[in-house]
Amino acid sequence: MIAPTNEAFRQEVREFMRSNLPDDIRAKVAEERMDLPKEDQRRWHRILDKQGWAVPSWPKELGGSGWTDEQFYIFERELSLADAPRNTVYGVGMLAPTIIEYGTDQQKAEILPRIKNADDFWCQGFSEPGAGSDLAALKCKAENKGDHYLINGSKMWTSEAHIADRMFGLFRTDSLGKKQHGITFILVDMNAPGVEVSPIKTFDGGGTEINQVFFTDVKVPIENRVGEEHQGWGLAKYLLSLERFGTAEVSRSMRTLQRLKAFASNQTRGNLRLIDDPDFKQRLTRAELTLRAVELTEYRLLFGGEPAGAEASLLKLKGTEVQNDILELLHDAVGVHALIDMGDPEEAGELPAGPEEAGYAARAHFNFRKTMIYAGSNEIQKTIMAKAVLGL
Amino acid sequence: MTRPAPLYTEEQQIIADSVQRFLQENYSFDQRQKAITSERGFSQEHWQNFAELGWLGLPFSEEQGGFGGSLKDAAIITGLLGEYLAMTPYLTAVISAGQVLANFAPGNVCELVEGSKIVSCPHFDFENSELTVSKQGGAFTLSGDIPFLPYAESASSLVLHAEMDGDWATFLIPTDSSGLNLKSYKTYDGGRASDAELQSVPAQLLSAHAKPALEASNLATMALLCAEASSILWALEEQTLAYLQTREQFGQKLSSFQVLQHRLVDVYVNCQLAQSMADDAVEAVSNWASDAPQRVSAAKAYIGDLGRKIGQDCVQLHGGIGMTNDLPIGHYLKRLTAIDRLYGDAAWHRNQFAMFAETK
Ligand SMILES: Cc1cc2nc3c(=O)[nH]c(=O)nc-3n(C[C@H](O)[C@H](O)[C@H](O)COP(=O)(O)OP(=O)(O)OC[C@H]3O[C@@H](n4cnc5c(N)ncnc54)[C@H](O)[C@@H]3O)c2cc1C
Repeated sequence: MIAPTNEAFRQEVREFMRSNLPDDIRAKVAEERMDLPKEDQRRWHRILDKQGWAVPSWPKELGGSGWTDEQFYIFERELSLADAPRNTVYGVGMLAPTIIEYGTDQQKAEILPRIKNADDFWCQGFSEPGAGSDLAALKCKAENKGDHYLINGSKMWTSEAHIADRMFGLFRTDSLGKKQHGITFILVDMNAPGVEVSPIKTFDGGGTEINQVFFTDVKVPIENRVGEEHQGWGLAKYLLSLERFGTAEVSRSMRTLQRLKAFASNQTRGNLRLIDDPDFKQRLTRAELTLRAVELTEYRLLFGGEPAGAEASLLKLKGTEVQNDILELLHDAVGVHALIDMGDPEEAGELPAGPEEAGYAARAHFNFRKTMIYAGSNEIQKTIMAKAVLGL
Repeated sequence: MTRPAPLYTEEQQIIADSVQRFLQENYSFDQRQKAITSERGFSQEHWQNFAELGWLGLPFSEEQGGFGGSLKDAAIITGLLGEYLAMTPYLTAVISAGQVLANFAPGNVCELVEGSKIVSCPHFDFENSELTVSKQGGAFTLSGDIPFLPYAESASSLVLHAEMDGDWATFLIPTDSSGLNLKSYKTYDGGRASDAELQSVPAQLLSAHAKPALEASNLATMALLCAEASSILWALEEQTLAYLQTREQFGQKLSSFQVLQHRLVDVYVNCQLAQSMADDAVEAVSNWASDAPQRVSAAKAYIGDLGRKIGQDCVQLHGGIGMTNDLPIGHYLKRLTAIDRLYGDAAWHRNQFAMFAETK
C-alpha cells in the first residue's frame, strides 16, 4: 500500500527508534502501562525534538516536519511498533494547532516554543460533572472583570491535570441564548491561586490519570482568552476535529496483537500451545481480521480520495472496539495469574510475582474501556454518523 | 424492582434476611474498600460473626457440627456476598475445602464451622496438576507447585490433590509446614491468593481414592460462583437502570433515549437467562443429580461470557463515572471477569458441555 519511496522513510524511522528509544521507557510502554511518568514523557519528547520530530504536524517554520500524510501515517505506525510513547496529545496535538489557527501573535510566541521544548504540559478542561456527552451544557463560570476573568466551578475527568502546568478549557461567559453560545476558550495556569486538583482513582487500579479540578475565584488575565469571547464552541469543534491519524488506535492494537501472539505461542493450555487452542485461535483470528478491516478502512478513508464524512467517528468506533477485544484476549491468555493485582504504582513496594510477560494485561484490559467512553463516547459517534452521513 | 422475587422456603428467607441485614450494616461499599486493603484482605472479626450467625456451618450436617443446610442455602450467602462485593475465604473454606473435609476428615469440620480455622484449596485441576507424592513407610510428602490458593495466607491448612498409584489422592498440610513456601498476592477483584511451592512437605493422607469427592467439590464451587455472578448481574442491572433514570444529558434523562432503553433491556433479559442457568446449576449440585457436571458446565460457560459482556456494558452505560474506583460498577466487572477465570473459563466449560452432550 505504501509508496516505495516512503519505504526509505519507514526504515529511517525504524532505525531511529532502535537507536534512540531508551530501554526503560520502551519496557514501560511494552507492559501496557498507562502511567508513564511526566519525566519519561519529557525525556522522550526531547529526544524526538532533537530529531525534529516532536511536533511534526506543525507548520514547518514553527518546527514541523513538513511530512506528507503518508509519512505521518508511517511515523505513527512505527512509533507504536517500536513500543515508543506517542507524542503528547494535549499540547502538541490539540492546543498548538488551535493557537496557530486562532491565537494572537503574542500567544503563539509565548506558548508554542514551550510546548515544543516540553517545558509546559497541558491538560484539557472541557467535561464537567453535568456536561459530558452534552458538552455544550457546561457551566463552569468565567466572569469578565475587565482585565481578568474570574473563574468559579469545576472540571471533571481532566486527564493529567495532576501533572499539567496549564489547562486549556471551555468556560461559561454568558448563559443567555443557545447553550453553544457564551462559551469561551481560556488558558489557565494550574498553579494559580484557587485552582485545586483532586485525583480520581479509576477501578483498574492504576496510578492517577484523571482528576476533578476545582476553581475558586481564580483570576486569569484577559489575554489568556483564545479567540473571541463567547465564541469558544467554534474553537472546541475545530480542536476536536483535528485528530486524523490514530483515532482508530490501529498501530497500538497491531503492537498489542504481536505481543499477544508471541505470548500465546509460549503458553500451554492442556497439551497444546495456547495459540493452537481451537477456541483461542478462533477468537484471536476474529480480532485480527477485524483489526485488518479497520486498518484497510483507515487507509482507504485517509488516502482513497472520496471523503465518506465523519471518517474519524467511524474509525474511532470500530478501532476502539477491536482494541478492547485484543486487550481482553491478552488478559485471557495470561490465565489465572491475570488476576494478580499489580499494586498501586504510586506506592512503593515490590511488584508481586507472576509470569513476567503477563505484566499489566488485566489493568490494560480494564483501563482501556475508557477509549469507548472518552473523546466522544461510541454511542455519540453513532449519533454523529446518523446525522452527518446517513442524514437522519 | 425488575428482579424476580426469589422462591425461598421460610428458613431460607430467614437466612437471606439475616445475611442482608449483616451486609447492609457491615459491608457498605466504603467498608468493603477498607476491608480489602486490610492486612488479610478481610475482617477476622466479621469471620467470627459469620460463624456466630451460622453461615459457616450451613452446608454441613448436624453430626459434623453444622446446621444441616444445603448448597442451595449456601448459594444464598455467596450470592449476597457477591452483591456486596464482600471478599472473604467463604467459598474456598466452606465450600471447596469444606466439602472434601466433610467427606474424609469430618473431625476437622468443627473448627471450620466455629471460625477458628480457615482451610484453603485450589481448583482441583486433574489436567495440569504438578504435585507429586513420595511415600516412605506410611508417611507421605508432597513436592511441586500449585497456583492460586485463595486466602492461603490466612489458612491454617491446605487441602491438596495429587496423582497416586493411578488414582487421585487428597492430602491435608498445615500452612506452617517446613518445605512449604507461599507467594501471596492481592487479586484485582479485591481477593487474596497464593502460589505454593512444596519441597517434600509432610502431608496427611485424607483419601487415596478421592476423585469423586474432589469433583464434587469442584462442581459445588463452580455452581456457587455462578450464583454469585447471577446476583452481581442483577445488582448491576438495578444500579445501571437507576443511574440512567437520574442522569440527564441534552436536557433529558438518559433513560429516555431509545438506544439506551434497548441496551438496558438487553441487560435485563440476559440477567433472566443467567439466573436460570445459575439456579439450575445450584439445584443440580444440591441433590447431586447425575447430570450435575453437564448442568454446571452449561451455567459456568454461559455466565462466564455473558457476565463479562454485561459488566462491560454497564461500565459503558455509566460513562466516565463507570471508570471510577469509588463506584461498585467497575468492581463488579472485575469480579465477573475473575469468576470467568476461576474454575475453568467459558471456553473450557463449553468443551466440557459439548463432550457430555456428545456422549449422551
Ligand atoms: C479516562 C478518561 C479520561 C478523560 N479525559 C478527559 C479530559 O482530559 N478532558 C475532558 O474534558 N474530558 C475527559 N474525559 C471525559 C469524557 O470526554 C466524558 O466521560 C465523555 O464525554 C462522556 O461523558 P460522561 O462521562 O458525562 O457520560 P454521559 O454523557 O453521562 O454518558 C453516559 C452514557 O450514556 C450515553 N449517552 C449519552 N447521551 C446519549 C445519547 N444522546 N444517545 C445515546 N447514548 C447517549 C453515553 O454514550 C454513555 O454510554 C475523560 C473520560 C475518561 C473516562
